[in-house]
Amino acid sequence: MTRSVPAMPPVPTRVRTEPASFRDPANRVFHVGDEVLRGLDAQAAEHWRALTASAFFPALLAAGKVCATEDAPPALVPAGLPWAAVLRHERIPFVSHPYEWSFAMLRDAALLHTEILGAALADGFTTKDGSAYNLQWHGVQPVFIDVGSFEPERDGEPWAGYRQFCQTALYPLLLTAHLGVHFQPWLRAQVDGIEAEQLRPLFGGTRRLRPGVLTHLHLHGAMQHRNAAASTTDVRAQLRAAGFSRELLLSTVRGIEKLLHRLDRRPTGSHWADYQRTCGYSAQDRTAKEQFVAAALTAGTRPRLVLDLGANDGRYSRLAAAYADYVVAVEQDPAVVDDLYRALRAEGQQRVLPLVLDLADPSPGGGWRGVERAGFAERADADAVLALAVVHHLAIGRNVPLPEIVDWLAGLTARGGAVVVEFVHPEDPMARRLLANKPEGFFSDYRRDAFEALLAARGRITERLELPSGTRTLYRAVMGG
Amino acid sequence: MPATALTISVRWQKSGFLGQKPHRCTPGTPVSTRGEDKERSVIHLAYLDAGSGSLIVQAVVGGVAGVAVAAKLYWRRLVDRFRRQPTDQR
Ligand SMILES: C[S@@+](CC[C@H](N)C(=O)[O-])C[C@H]1O[C@@H](n2cnc3c(N)ncnc32)[C@H](O)[C@@H]1O
Repeated sequence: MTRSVPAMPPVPTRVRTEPASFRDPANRVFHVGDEVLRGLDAQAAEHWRALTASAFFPALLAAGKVCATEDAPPALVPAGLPWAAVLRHERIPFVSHPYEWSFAMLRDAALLHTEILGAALADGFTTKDGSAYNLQWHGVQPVFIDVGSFEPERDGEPWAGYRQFCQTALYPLLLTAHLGVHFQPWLRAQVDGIEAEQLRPLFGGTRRLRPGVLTHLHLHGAMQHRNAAASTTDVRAQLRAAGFSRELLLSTVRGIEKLLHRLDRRPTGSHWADYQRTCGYSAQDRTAKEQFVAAALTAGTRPRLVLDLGANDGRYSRLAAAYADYVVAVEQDPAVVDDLYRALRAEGQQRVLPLVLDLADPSPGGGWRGVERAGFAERADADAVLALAVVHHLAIGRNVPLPEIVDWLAGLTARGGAVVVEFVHPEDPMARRLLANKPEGFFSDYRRDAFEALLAARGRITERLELPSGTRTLYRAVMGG
Repeated sequence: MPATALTISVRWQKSGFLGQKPHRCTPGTPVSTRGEDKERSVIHLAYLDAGSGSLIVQAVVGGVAGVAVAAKLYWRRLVDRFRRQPTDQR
C-alpha cells in the first residue's frame, strides 16, 4: 500500500483513542472511522499469536463469547502508529457499564468471565485482570471484550484479576443477594468497584455465614491488611514454594463459579413490576398503541438503534426489535429490568439490551477526567426514540419542565430520526394521581396543546393519534428536519 | 512452639480476621497496619496490581489443598522470622 504525504493542511489524524483504554500500557483500543482497533506492543502481539494458535480461544470466538477479533487488514491501519500489531474488533452495538445492569446481568457476566478464565487456564493461559468492565452485551448475551487481557499462564501463580473481580462483580452481587441492597449506585460511584473494607461492616453477626462472605470478603479483606507491606513478587514466589498449582487455581475458579450460581436472588417489592396488570389500558387502547408504534417505526428507513425510554416489561422494546437492528430498553426499576432480562433470555430475543437507568439522573461520565466511562448522553444517538407513557413521570413526578423534556428527546435522537411519544393528558387517571400529590396549579402548562407546540418547534409531527379512551395522544415527530 | 501459636491467634484477632473487627475506613485513607510500625495505604492498589493478600487468599478459597498451601506459606514466614530474630520476645 502506498501513502502519499498530504500537502498542507495535514489530513486530520483519523485516529481517536478510546478513553476507556489506557490502564494496560501493553495494548490500547482506538477508533478509525467506524472501526474499533486495538494496538499491541511487541509482547502483546506475541501473546496474540499464541492465542490464535490455542485451542480454547478460537472456540470462544466461534461461540460468540469473546467479541469477534481478527488481525486488522493493513488498509484500515493508519501509518505511523507505534504498535507491533493491530487487531480489529467487531463493534458492540451499545456500550453499557456494570452499574447499568441488573443483578442477573452482572451475575451472568461474572459467570462468563470465570468460564473464560477456566477455559484459558486449562489451555495454559490466564487473564491479566478480572474486571466486570471486561464484558459487554449483544442483546442479553454477555461478551468478553478485553482480548488484550489474555496472556500465557505461569504455573503456580494465583489469578492476578481476583481482587478486581471481587470489587467489580462479586461484592456487588453479595450486596444484593444477601442484603437486598441494589448495587448499581455503589458501582457507579467508584470506578474501581467496592472495596472489601467498605462492605465488611455490613456483614457482621450471622451474616458472616452467608455464602462467600467469610472467605471472599472477610478473610480477603483481612489478608489485604496483613500483607499490605509484602510485594506481590515476593508473595508469588512464596506461594509457588508452598506448592500453589494450576490445579489449585482451577478449583478456586470452580469454587467461585459455584458461589455465583448460589447467589440467585430476584429483587422484589417494586411498584412497577406489576404494571401491565395495573396500568389501566383498555384492549382497544393497547391495540391502537401497538399499531401506531409499529407504523411509526416502519415509516422511514429501518432504524439501527431504538431507545425505549421507561420500557417497563419491554412490550414495545420487543415490538421495536421486529423493525430495528437493536433496541436499548431503559428502565429505572432494577427489579423490573431483572425480570425483563430473564424473560428476554428465556425467549431467545437477541436484539434487546435492557438497562437500569433513571432518566432524570442518567449515568454521568465516570473515571479519569469523567470520560473513561462514557455518560449515557454521549452514547445515546438513536434513529428512533420511544417515550411511551413516561413523559408525565418526568414532567409531574420529577418536576422537569416540558420544554426541557422535548429538548432532551431531540438530543437523544439522530438528525432525521423519529421520536414516538405518548402524551398522557392531565385528565387521565394516572396523571391525576401524580398531580394529586403536587401543589395546586403547579403544572398549569402541562397541557396537550403546549406539548404539541413544543414538539412541532423541535421537529416535524408526521403522525398523531388520540387513543380510544380519549386521555392519551401518540405522536411521531421527525427531529431536526 | 506454643508461643508461636499464641502469636498467630492474637495477631489475627487484631487484624479483624473473619470480620471480628473490620477496619472502618473510607477508601484512599491510609490505614495503619498495627504491629509492624508501618503506615501504608492498603486501599487503591494499582490497576494490574494483583494485591498480595488477594493472591494468598485464593489458596484458602481453593479448598483443603489450598489451606495447606496457605498454612505452609505462613509457617515458612514464621520460621524465617525466628531465624532472623532468634531472641525475639515481643
Ligand atoms: C407507565 S409505564 C410505561 C411502560 C411502557 N413504556 C408502556 O408504554 O407501556 C412507565 C415506566 O417508566 C418507568 N419510569 C418512570 N420514571 C422513570 C425514569 N425517571 N427513568 C426511567 N424509567 C422511568 C417506570 O418505572 C415504568 O416502568
